[in-house]
Amino acid sequence: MQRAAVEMDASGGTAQMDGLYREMRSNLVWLATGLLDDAAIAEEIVQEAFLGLFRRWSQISNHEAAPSYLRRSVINAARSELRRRALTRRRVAPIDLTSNSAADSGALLNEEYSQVVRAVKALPRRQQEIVLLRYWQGLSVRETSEATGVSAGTVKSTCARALQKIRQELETQ
Amino acid sequence: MTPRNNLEQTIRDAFDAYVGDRVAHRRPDAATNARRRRWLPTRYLLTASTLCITAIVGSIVWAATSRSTDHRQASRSGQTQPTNPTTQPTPSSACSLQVSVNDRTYTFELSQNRDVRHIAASGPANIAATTSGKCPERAAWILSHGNHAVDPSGGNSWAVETSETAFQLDFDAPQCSQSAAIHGCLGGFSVVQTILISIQD
Repeated sequence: MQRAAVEMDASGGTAQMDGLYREMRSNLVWLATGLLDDAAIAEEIVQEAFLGLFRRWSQISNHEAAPSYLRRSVINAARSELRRRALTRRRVAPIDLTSNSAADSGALLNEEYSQVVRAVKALPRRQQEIVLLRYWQGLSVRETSEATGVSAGTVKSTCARALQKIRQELETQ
Repeated sequence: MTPRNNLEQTIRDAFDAYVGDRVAHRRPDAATNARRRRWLPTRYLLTASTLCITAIVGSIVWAATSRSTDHRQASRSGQTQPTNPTTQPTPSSACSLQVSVNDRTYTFELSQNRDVRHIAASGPANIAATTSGKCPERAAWILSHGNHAVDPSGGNSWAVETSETAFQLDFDAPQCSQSAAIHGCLGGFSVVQTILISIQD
């Protein structure tokens, strides 16, 4: 992309927001899609997270915490969406990569990957979030703790339990 | 028993592949996803036939659009349209997207490189988007606003999806005081340009 052709308002926070948006948007969309299995909803959630940050930008004293704020916003919005689905009984059935709805995607995954995705999706919500943030998104324990709102110790113990469950699940499959 | 590090790596690879199929966007560090994909014959044939149909339709649209674009450019610059098509100057302009927000215009030169941008403005919003230049045949643009971009008939939301190579859309939406987003795809399924327009009340 030719930056010279882009006229952007380079003043203060807007420029910082531009940088954050460019840097983090795709990863956040991936994260939300991993949690929700719905790319369109994921896009909306991420858009709303950035808008929330934009509106509060002048009130935020520590702009270094903006990435953490964004991740937490996306996680919270994903939780709300999952709750809404459960309440309206439109919750997507647990991932079944052999079903017609996921056949196209499942066909592209090899058997090992399908089993791992199934095992992770079968975890309780919090374990799933933490596993995806730690091992898929590559966040540190501290960053995962900030994004999910649990202590660092809880992140570590949850990771250990989750990996154990996944391993057991894979052995039984 | 799967070693711990192998399991973590497998989780990473599995979700890269799994989500990569659902999201048009691809992370820079997920570039190896495509190599891991297992292309089945049926999918391959479907994709090949889709490409053939798109190429035929695209070439017709492309010919019409480029002729129209050349004509407009010639008219703007005061040049007369050459009678012999072979003598027409080849436009050097790349595909570009002009986004006008409250009378301020932002120009994005589009290429196959994926990029995201953010525009901040004061509301209420008056948004117009126009493409110009030599855009590939296979282009798609989605302009959305509100929480449910997929529902164009929704109260506070609108969405427009067009596969036109060149388009002009104008929105005079007083209720559009929060955000708008433009996603553009060129030549394929990957989103190459995403623009978030944040409007302050």
